[in-house]
Amino acid sequence: MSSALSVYFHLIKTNLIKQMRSYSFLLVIGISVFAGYACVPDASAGYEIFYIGGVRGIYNSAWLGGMAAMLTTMLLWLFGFFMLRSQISEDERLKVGPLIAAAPVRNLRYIVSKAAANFVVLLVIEAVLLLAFMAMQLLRGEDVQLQVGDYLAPLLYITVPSLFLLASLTVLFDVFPGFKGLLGNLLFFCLWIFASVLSIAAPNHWWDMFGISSILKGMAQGAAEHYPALSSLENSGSFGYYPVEGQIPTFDWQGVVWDQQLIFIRLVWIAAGSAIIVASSLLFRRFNSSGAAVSLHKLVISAQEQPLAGSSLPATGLNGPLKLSPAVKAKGLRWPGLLRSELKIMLKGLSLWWFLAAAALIAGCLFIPAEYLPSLLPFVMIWPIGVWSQMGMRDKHYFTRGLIASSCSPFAKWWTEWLAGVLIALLISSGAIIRFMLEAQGQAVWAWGAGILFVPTLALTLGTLSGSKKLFEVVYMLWWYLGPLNHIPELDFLGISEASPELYLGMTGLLIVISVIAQFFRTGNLSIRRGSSL
Amino acid sequence: MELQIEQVSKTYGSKSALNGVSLKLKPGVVGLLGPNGAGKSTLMRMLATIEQPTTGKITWNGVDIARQPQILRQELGYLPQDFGVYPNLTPLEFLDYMAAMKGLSAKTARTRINELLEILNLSHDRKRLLGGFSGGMRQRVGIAQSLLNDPSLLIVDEPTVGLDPGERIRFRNLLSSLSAERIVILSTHIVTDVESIAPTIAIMAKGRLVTYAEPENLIQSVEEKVWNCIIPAAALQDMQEKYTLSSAIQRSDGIHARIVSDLRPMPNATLLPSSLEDAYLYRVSSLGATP
Repeated sequence: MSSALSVYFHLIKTNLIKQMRSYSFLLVIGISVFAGYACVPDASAGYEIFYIGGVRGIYNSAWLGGMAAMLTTMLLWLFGFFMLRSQISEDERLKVGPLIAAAPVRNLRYIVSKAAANFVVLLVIEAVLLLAFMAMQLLRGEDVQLQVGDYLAPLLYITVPSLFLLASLTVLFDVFPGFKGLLGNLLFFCLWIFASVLSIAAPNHWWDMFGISSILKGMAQGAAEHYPALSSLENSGSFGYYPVEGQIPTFDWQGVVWDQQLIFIRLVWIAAGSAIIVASSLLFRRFNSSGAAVSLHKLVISAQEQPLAGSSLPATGLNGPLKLSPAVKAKGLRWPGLLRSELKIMLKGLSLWWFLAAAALIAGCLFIPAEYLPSLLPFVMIWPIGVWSQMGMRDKHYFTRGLIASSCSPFAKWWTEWLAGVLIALLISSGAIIRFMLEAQGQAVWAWGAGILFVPTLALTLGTLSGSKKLFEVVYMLWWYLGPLNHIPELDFLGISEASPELYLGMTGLLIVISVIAQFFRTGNLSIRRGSSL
Repeated sequence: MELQIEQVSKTYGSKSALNGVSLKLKPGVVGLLGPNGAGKSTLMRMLATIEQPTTGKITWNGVDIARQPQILRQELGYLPQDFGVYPNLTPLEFLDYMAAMKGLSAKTARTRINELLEILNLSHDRKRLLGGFSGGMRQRVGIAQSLLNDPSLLIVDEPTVGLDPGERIRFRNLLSSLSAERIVILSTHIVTDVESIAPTIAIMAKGRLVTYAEPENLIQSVEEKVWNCIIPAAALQDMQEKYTLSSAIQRSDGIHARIVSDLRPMPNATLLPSSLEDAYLYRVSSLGATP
């Protein structure tokens, strides 16, 4: 093995080990196994997850191999991205950055190793799902002939190029100025939606970033051949939860014919991924924050210190006992003070434009004509996503847990943070709520109120569990997109299309319990007041 | 005012970090000395109510702090070994936030924050973002937050790591000035940090309390056990393996090795006056730990 390859091998191996020992990786593996089971339902299970006019292919290797390629490509593009997108930032946050910057490793080599490690992680997840699908083929027994080639061909032609492109984007979004945080997350989410739509509705394969249109169209055409009544649905199909009554009609599908043009297009996307990696290495600043725009993250590790006035402790004046004003302490917890501080810290750093836009949203809800109101309402509850996503993770991210935990009950801190999040939700919703009340829409107030409690609770729980903003951001964006924006009734936590406040109040309660249990296991103590314990 | 640690042990899975430690502390500075991995930080975190003992009990004025941590938190100041700050806040804002956590009234908080910033020479930088602060300045912000509530128990864990020699001396002076009418626990592995300010010293190694005594008694305990040996450079490694080496200085006639040993290590070895560092090394190595 040449020395360069050996270096690559060790860099990738280390990054891979780091990833695979994380809880998020184990969680994704668990989800993949479950997805393998849930996505191959029994013929009498009463649901299907891929709709092409109410029929499906027999569970043979070609059908399941194609399904695995489509599902993982679409889902891994979203969840895989958020899982892997901060590998370089993590080196910075964990203060390994300066060590790497001072090492002789070249930018390209470092970035390639990061992208390659992310790519391998994605492939491992894909492999687990593929094995789960193979096991399900045998378990369901509709066709017990395992044709490994039928699983591997979609993997090779569809999944590998697609995941390679995704791996390149995980590093690009981690080094491109301004894309490390919420803006990058929102942009990627939009890209994912755009790519999904293109894959399903693109006029030709060139625009299909995921590469799944060939399988999708092949399956739809297969269905139309066997069931001519479905010919009007040719080339279309959709993923989701579709309840089915009785047995689902099936047909035999033998897979996609992989022609040269299809393979060439996939090679083009691999080339695009390679170009993105090279561009990322050019953008990579080697953890040097000087001259860059000021961001929270860069401030943490800033080694470029400007001259500061107080360079050391005073040499004199401390020879006698230290004299300070008496510290008057409140007898119990000082909730108003805690809440005020929590709100200040949550809103700190937001620009004037953020507040102006928030004010415009509030005013818009009050004064916009009624027919446009349902279109505006979802945006009210996506605007503070960056504020809510800080909840529950700040102490871990900034290493302040020791200071906070020795000063205040973790339970009291949790409730204060929760209350601050709810207050922000209430404030941004004030226009909508006042309007609902003026129009005597009690049900709307009730449903929106449940949403106001649900969103910050979700943010705080996911932040507490993951110690990161990303989990909430991805879950909430997806939920918001499918529910309030696209009106899937069960996911509409604001009740814009269909209200289910009881469901969301119940989920709020459940999330609180989960979060409190997580706190208990973390601290072993939840006492809230002097002399009490929980 | 009394902090009592009774047979406290802490295990993480099958690994024992602390094993049956007992101590009773009264007002004044207590130096907690021990090599890395001795269990000092684990003990500090338990005293700071962040973790709970697996077995044993810690009481503050008779109250079990595992059951009622809030009672101690009202009177606790804690400066962890490794802590962060919110980089987009100024010292003023950060201390204001910490004061709210500690339950101080807004007026009291503002007065004390201003005084502490003045004392710690940070008042000129009160409106600069913490993200641009040097390690030493950030450490002073940490000290300020630990003193916000006028704590009766002040715990400082390895506070001088990262400070320059001058700042270390000034920090020790600051701790001295704070020691009246409060218990100050200074945890460190640097003997000189505690020597000048701690009237009592606890030495830990391998998760156990090795000794708890006054520095004079500790020094006395190794009298006639500290030897000066002049050896050739080639023999140094051999001596290190056989004896506890306190220091080794290169001279023209060979290496002057300072050895702590019950027996005379070489026929030509001469006795030296003992120091606290010698006593520390003697106690720690007697337990088989690497100082």
